Amino acid sequence: MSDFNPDLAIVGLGGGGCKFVSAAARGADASVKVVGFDTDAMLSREVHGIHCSILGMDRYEGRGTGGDPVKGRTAVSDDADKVRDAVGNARLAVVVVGLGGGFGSGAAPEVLSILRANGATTLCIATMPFGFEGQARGNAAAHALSLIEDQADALAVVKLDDLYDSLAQLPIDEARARAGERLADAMLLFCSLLTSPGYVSLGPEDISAMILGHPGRCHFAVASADGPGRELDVVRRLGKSAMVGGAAAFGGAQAAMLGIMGGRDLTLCELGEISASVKSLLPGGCEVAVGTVVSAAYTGSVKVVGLFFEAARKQPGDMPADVEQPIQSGRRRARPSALSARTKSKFAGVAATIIDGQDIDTPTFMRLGITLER
Amino acid sequence: MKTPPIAVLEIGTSNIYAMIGDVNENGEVTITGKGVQPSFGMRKGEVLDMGNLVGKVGEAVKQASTEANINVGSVYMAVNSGSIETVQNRGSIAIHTQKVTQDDVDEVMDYAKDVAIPANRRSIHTWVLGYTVDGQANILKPVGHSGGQLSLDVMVVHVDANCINNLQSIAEGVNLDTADVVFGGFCSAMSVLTPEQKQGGVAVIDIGGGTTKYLVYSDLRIAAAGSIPVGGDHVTNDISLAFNLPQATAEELKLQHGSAIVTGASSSSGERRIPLSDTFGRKGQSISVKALQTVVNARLNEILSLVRSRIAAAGVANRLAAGVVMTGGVTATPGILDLAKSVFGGAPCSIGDPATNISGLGDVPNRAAYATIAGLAVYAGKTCVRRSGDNGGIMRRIFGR
Repeated sequence: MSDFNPDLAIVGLGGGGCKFVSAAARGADASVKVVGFDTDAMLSREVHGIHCSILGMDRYEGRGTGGDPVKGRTAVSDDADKVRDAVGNARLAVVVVGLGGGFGSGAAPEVLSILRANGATTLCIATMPFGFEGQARGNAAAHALSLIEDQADALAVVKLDDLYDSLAQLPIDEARARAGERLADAMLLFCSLLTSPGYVSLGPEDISAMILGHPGRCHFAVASADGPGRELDVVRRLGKSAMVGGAAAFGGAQAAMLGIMGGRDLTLCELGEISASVKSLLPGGCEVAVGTVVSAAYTGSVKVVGLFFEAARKQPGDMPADVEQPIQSGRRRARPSALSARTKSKFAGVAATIIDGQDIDTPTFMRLGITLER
Repeated sequence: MKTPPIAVLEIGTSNIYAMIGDVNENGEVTITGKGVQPSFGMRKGEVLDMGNLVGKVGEAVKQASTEANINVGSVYMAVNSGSIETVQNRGSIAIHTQKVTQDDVDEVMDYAKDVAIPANRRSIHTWVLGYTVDGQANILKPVGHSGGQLSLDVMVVHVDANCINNLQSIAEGVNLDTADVVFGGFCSAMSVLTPEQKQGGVAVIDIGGGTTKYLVYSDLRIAAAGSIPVGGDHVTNDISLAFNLPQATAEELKLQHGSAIVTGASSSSGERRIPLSDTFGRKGQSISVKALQTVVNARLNEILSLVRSRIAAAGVANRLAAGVVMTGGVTATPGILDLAKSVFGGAPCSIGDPATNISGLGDVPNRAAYATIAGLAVYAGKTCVRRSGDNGGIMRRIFGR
């Protein structure tokens, strides 16, 4: 068992999310909670290495949501206790979800809300559907994203179109496998970074503090290189990482977390070069936290995992950035006051009106996945 | 004997209405006193805060009594619950003397209205759909018809029993007896429809604050009726959650800038963005008019679509020659008729006037919001005249004179 801060939960939602986090489980020790949720009982047979919990069993009897995010949300509402029990008192929760329809889109905002209420700092990594999947799925994903943005402390969006861009000439199955591996590898490395020993530790507590200090959108990137010049190659590849969306993402970063992983052959010079090269891509004044992991598994190569936090965007109803957030002694910053959070529904606490399987009290534009002009 | 005045009461989700009116020998009502109070103790047509409602009902009744210079002892009450349901039933008897008599009609009615409804529900209306004598259907007045078997099809309207009990408790709380309880949608139809519309086939849709009620007439008979626990409050709530605003601010935005169709510009100011006041710390922020209208349009479209699907399920969607008549407070929303036309496939749509079958309503704000209470007064007038023929003493007991 790791001697380091164990307060980390990695949560996969829906088929896609669960498959990604099952890869992360390979890099997690027993102190990390890696769990998956869905309504589809078949999932547990398809995903290995993690505990898959079926939600909404009483209502949906182990069936999938059929692409209906409302069912996903309802299933989480029905079994909120199960979610809480599965994640426990994790200090940092990373939620991985594929958006576009179904369980993940509906469940993600609810699960994030539960995790936050439980005291966890939340980082959501959400994939957006391919463009060819159609406008309906795109709109549904965009709408779910807006709800997730309200609930997650930090949100990293990965567009599948970008992820697959370099794989477009491959057969579909191979392309899907490779793209899935990329994201799964990223999760594995991220988990390793937070739980494995290194010369400079970067654990869940550090990530949590950085997220709370810079809430909002972020970019999640991973790159790997080996051979001579690997310290420069890996930075170059990081800049081109599809998940980051290109080097432009660096220019807007106000804070960054950098994890550098290598084997026993990793030199101080390489560490310094990688760190300096990444910092040179970032704007002046960008706060950078660096952690390292040394493991025999990485001998011969160097890998870099990065989280780059954007400057927060103002929206009507957002709290002003200059509102002081009280800092409690010891470990964490306090969360924003509940008084500054979302407006409460007029129908909260009143028996729901269910028509044709939908909770009619939920705003219509939300249920239809309508994106509003801001 | 002169028919005594009637008193009617509607406890809505947004407002409480009380009216008093004089009744002539034909059952026609002239309103002589009105009272209106805001309602805070209802949600989706159901009672949440009895104490608050009792207080406000008392004030509304007092307003009406003062204006009419009459003390009220008993009221007719409108039922606006979203739990209204209907069930159709048929009763049949053998005609005793080969010609249908009134006794036969009364007997077949007893059988027809004896329909099983859940124990926690209560029947409030039994509407005649039509008589059948030996296979000849759609007979309106069967007395005198020759035949062997008389059948009657009825529509029984039932509601959650707690709803009725709560309304009666509120009335008792202000020392009023309940003369009768009437489905609000039926009241709205009574106030805004003409006999020609009822003959031709028409749907009345009353969108209130907490519920939406509908009733369809075809060939002078009620063909479908019901209610859905969704209304103007849902529009406000949608706005509140869409833009993270307090409910009161959302209500204000809805009333000032809302539209049932998306035009992109405020109907009142023409602006494309609405600045938020610095109340609650919103200074400097604004919201898109298009976004606001999108939220309103989505909800109202859904409400009307739900009603349309219910009407279609009743098999009467293609029998609306006189179209759709909209009423209720939400019909003040700009563009509501255009939206209704698009939902109902181009059928003629209009806003009903609550003063169609009543006089003395006067110049009241948001007139369509009075459809239910005005229709209840129409109902009460006709009922009183019918009953006074049965027992004049009842009316003297109601008003103490």
